[in-house]
Amino acid sequence: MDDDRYGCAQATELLAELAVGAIAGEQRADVLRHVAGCPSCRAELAELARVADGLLQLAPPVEPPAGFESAALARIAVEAAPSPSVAAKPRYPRIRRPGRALAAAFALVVAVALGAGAVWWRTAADRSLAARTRQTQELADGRYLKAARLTTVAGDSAGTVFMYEGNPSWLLVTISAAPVDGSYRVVLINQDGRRYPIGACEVASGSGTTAYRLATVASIDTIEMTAPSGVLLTART
Amino acid sequence: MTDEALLAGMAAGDAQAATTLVRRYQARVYGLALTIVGVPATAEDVAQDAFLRAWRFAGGYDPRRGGVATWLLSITRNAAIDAVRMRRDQPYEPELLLAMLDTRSADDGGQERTADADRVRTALRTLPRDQAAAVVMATFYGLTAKEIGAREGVPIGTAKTRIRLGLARLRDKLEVHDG
Ligand SMILES: [Zn+2]
Repeated sequence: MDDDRYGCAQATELLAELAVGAIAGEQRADVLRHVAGCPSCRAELAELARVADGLLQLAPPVEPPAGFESAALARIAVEAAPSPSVAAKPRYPRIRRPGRALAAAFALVVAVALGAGAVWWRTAADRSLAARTRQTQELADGRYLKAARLTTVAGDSAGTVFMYEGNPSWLLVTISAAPVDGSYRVVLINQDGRRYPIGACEVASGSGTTAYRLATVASIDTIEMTAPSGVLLTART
Repeated sequence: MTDEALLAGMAAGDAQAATTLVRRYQARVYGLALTIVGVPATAEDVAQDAFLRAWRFAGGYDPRRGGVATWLLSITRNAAIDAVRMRRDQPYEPELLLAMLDTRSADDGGQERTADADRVRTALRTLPRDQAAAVVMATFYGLTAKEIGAREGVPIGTAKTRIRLGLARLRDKLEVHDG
């Protein structure tokens, strides 16, 4: 590292202070810079931070005052509430279109439900799921998570569609190997044959992600994605 | 439902999951907030803020780095420290803090958690008082080595050494039990 002012010896001296949060300002920035480029100091820091974080559980639990629970949930609800939109006329019973953060949250649902943790998300869905298309995982209270492979007309794998049936339900499209880039139109086809356009998914360098919150995903039969050039990708649930 | 599933449900906007998670952890989150800020009204605000942050950052939770409880408590610590930074004049009493941490509380989180807390508590007890005080003042109050030195009436270098030796010793003690 050109701008690494610290060697391992100097950094090691300060890792404990960093782990407990007792270092500030420029010195902190310098150690962090070294740690970012040094796997052995990074491992040492992670271990020390685990020890420091473990101390926090020693704080005695105290029941909060009455009304705490509803106040805490209300604060979350206020932040989660959709901004008022005027002329939204969703054809599919949809709650609202989530942003990038919610797509990430959904990815967490998927990762946790599949029991693979964060590693799964980083190593991409399709590798671990390609062999298990149309997999359904039952969760508690009638909830489930379903994964379906997204393929080209020729049958090549292009990505994965995840459907989470819950409250609310979610549909997440992850594309990792699209044959062409562009803005794909996403259409849901229900079991009764009705088609519902639900939006677009931007694909660049063959990949893209988009998520939708829906009232239910139980009635979906097929997901169709069409590129501006007419290239079609489909997933059957 | 596991903690991870609850966190994921909450992140996805599932109100029931959020309720269960808050109910499961509110006493520990509020207890930690109160330990740090010392004022019930502020602690309540901090604890609510911690759950809000948990919801907001749930996507960043990495199961490889520890359980949901540890993650939630470190979020709470950060929220509490942010709150007390506004008023640095609050007196910090390391003796009181150490005594609180040394008290075994009534079982509220199952045997596994209690056993882990006991292990940590026992390890902390083996530290010389000065090292223990330096480590917990930094960990709980977010004080820097310079601030700890000033409060304990020792040079900054001494405070740094206490933190380093104290944490290293804690780790050794905990590792012995792990292995
Ligand atoms: Zn290093």
